[in-house]
Amino acid sequence: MKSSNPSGVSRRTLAKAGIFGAAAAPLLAACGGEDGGADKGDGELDFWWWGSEPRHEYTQQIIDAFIAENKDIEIKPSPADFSGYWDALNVSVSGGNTPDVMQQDEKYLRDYADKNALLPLEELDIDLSQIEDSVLKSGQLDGKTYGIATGVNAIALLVNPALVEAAGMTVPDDTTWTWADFIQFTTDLSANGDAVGNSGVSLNNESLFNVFARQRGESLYNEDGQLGFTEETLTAWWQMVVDLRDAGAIPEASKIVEGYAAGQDQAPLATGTGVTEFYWTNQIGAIQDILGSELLLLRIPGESEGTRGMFLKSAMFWSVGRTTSDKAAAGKLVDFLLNNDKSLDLCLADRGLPSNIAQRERILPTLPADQQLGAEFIATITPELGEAPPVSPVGAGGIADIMLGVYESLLFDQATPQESAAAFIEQASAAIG
Amino acid sequence: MTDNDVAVVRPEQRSSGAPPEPAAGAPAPEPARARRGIGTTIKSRERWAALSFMSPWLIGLLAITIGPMVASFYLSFTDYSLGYGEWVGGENYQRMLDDPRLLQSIKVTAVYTFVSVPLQLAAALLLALVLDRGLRGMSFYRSVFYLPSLLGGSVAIAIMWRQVFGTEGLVNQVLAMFGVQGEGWVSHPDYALGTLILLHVWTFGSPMIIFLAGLRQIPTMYYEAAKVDGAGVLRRFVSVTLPLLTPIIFFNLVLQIINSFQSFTQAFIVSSGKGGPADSTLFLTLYLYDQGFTQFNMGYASAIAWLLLAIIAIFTALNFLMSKFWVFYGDND
Repeated sequence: MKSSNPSGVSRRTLAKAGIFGAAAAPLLAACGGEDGGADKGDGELDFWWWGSEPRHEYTQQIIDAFIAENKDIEIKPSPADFSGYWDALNVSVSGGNTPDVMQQDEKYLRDYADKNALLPLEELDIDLSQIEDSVLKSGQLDGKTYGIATGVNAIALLVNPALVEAAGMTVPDDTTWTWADFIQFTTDLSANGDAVGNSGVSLNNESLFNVFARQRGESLYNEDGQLGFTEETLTAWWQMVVDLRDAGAIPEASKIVEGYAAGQDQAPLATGTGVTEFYWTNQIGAIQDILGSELLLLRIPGESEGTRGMFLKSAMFWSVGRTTSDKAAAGKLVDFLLNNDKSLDLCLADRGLPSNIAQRERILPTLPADQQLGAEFIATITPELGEAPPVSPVGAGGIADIMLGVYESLLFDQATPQESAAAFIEQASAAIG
Repeated sequence: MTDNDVAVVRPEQRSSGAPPEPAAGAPAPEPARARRGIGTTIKSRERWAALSFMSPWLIGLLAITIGPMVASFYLSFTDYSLGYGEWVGGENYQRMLDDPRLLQSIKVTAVYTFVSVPLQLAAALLLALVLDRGLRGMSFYRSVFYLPSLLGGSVAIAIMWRQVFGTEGLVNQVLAMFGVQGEGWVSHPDYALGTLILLHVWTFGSPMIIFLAGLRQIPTMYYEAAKVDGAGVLRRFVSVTLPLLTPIIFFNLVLQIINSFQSFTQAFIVSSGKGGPADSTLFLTLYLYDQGFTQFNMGYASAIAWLLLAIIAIFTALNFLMSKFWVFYGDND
C-alpha cells in the first residue's frame, strides 16, 4: 500500500498544529512509554526526518526504492523543518509514540538516549563494516550505539573571492593564519571594499567557539558532560568579537540581529554584502546557489598556533525508537539508508560526506561541483584533525539560544566580555547541570 | 464578569421579592403531594437536562482544560521530560529563585503589560468617544477600527511588523524623508519591546466595541442636565461619562491585563522564537516554551506555567480589591 499522504505536507502541518493539543494526551495516557518492542514486527515503520524541500523529495525516492525491495514493509514518512521537528518529536516521544526510525542531531542524542527513547543499535542487524570508526564513536554513549552518523561535516570559513579581489586584496594562507590575522583581514576588507569583512552571524556558534577552545587545549564540553573551558578562554573569545565590532570588521549590532533572524539565505554572505562567514561545509551549495558565484573554503584561523581545534562533526544520525513495532524492519531500513547504492546515489553528500567509506569513494566523482568543494576540503583537513569532541551532554540543545542571548547583549554594549563570559557559564551550567 | 459583580439589586426588584419561579413550561404542582418533594424532582430533572445540554462544553472543559491543568500541577513537582519523570518536590519552584532569565522574562512581561494596557485602553476610549456620535456610515468605521483586533494576534501581522520596523523598513524610509536616520527598531534591545507594545496598542478594537456599548448605556438626560448647568464638553466627560463608564473600564482593564500577560505569538514571531535581541522580548510565555520545548525541561516549564497563573490571579484579585475605590456602579450610595 502506498503512504496515505505522499506529499507529507499536511502531515507536517498537522504535526505542528497538534503539538499543543497533543501535549495533553501523554499526561492522560500516563505511562505510555513502556510498550516494549514486539518481537514479531507488524511491518509498519514511522520514519521521521527534518530538512528542506529537496531533501524531502529525494528521501521519498529512497523510501520508494526501499519498499520496492521489501514489499512486506510499509513506511509512513514524516518530513519536517528543523525547529518544528524537535517540537513534534519531543511531544511524540513524551506521549509514547516514538517514531521507529528517525533522524537525530548530536545536540539532542544524549537527551533522547538518557530517557530510554532510543534502541541500542547493537540489537539490530545493521552492517557497520564500512563505517569509519571515529565517526561510529560519535553516536556511542557508555559503550552502546544510539545513533549512526549519516555523514561528516566540518566548520570552515566561507570566503567570496570576487569581493576579496574587489577590495584589492589577496586571500591569506589559511594553513598558517592566526586569529589576529583574521581580525586584520576582515577589518581591511571592510575598509577597502563595499562589503563588510565578516557578517557576524556565526560568532555565537558554539561549535566555532569549541574550535577556539580546543586550540587552547580546552573544549566546549568535557567527557563528564560539564563545560570544559575556562572563563578566561570565553572572555578572550568575546573580547575578539568586541575588537571585530570596534574595527568595523562586522556590521553594527542591529544589522547582525536582523541578518540572524533572516536566516543564512539572506545573511550578508549570501546576498553579496559580506565577504566571509563561518558555516558547515554541507551548507556551501545552498549559499552559492543564492549568491550565484563561487566561494572558497578556508581553515579556521589559529590552527597552527596551539593544538588543532578543527574537528569533523557527525552531520546527523539515524536512530531507532526503543518501542519500535518491528525491530527487523527498522534495522533493514537503517542498513539500506547507510549502505545501499540506491540510497547514496540519491542522498549524495546532502546529509554530510557519507560515513560509509566505500560509498563515499564511490559517489565522490559523481558529486555536483558545490558538494565536491566541501568533500575536497574535508579530505584535505582530515589528516590534520585532532580527536573528535565527546558527545554533547543532556541539555545541550538549549546552549545555542543561551549563547545567542549573551552574544546580543555583548554586541549592544550591555555587557563587557568578562560579564558575558560569566553570564554564559552560569546559564549554560544550569542548562546542562 | 462585571454583571455578577454588580449584582444589580434595585430597590423596586427587592420589594417585589418573589421566590424564584420554576420554569414556565413546568407542569403545575399537584396539591396532593408535598410541595418540597415535587420541587426536588423538578429541580433534579432540570439539573440533568442542564448538564446534558452543557455536556459538549463540560467534556471539553474536563478533558482539555481541567485535566491538563491538574496534570501540569503534578508535573511541576517532577523533572518530567520525554516521557519520564521523577518526583522532585519543590525543586522546580526553588530553582526559580536563582534563574536570571526567568527574572528577566518577568520584568519584560510586566513592562509590556503595564505600559501597553493603559495606552491601549486610552486609545480605545478615545476612538469610542469619537465613534459614539451619530455619524453616517458608522458601522463601516466601527468595522475598520475593529479589524486590527482580529488581525493583531496573527502570524502574518507579526511578520509584517518585523518588516515595517526593520533597518530598511517602512518606518525608517518615512523617517529618512525627514532626514532622520532610524534604528533597526525590532533588532535593537532598547526598542524591540516598544514595537511589540505598539502592536498591542494597535489592537484597541475589542475594548473599543465594549466602550461603545457602555457609552450607549449612559442616559442622555444626565448630559442634558449637565448642559443646563452650563458644563462644557470636557466637564461633561469628566463628571458624567467617566464615572458612569468606570464599570466598563474596570471590565476592560481586567480582561486586557490577563490577555497581555498571556501574549505569545507576536513576540515569538518578531524575535524568531528566541525572545531576542538580548532577551529584551523574552515574555514569560516564551521562556516557558523555551524551557519546555527547546530545553526539554517540561517539569520546570509546568512550574513556570503555574507561576504565570499565580501572577495573573494576584493582579486580578488586586484589581477587584482596588475597584472598590474607583468603580462607580450608579446604584450604591
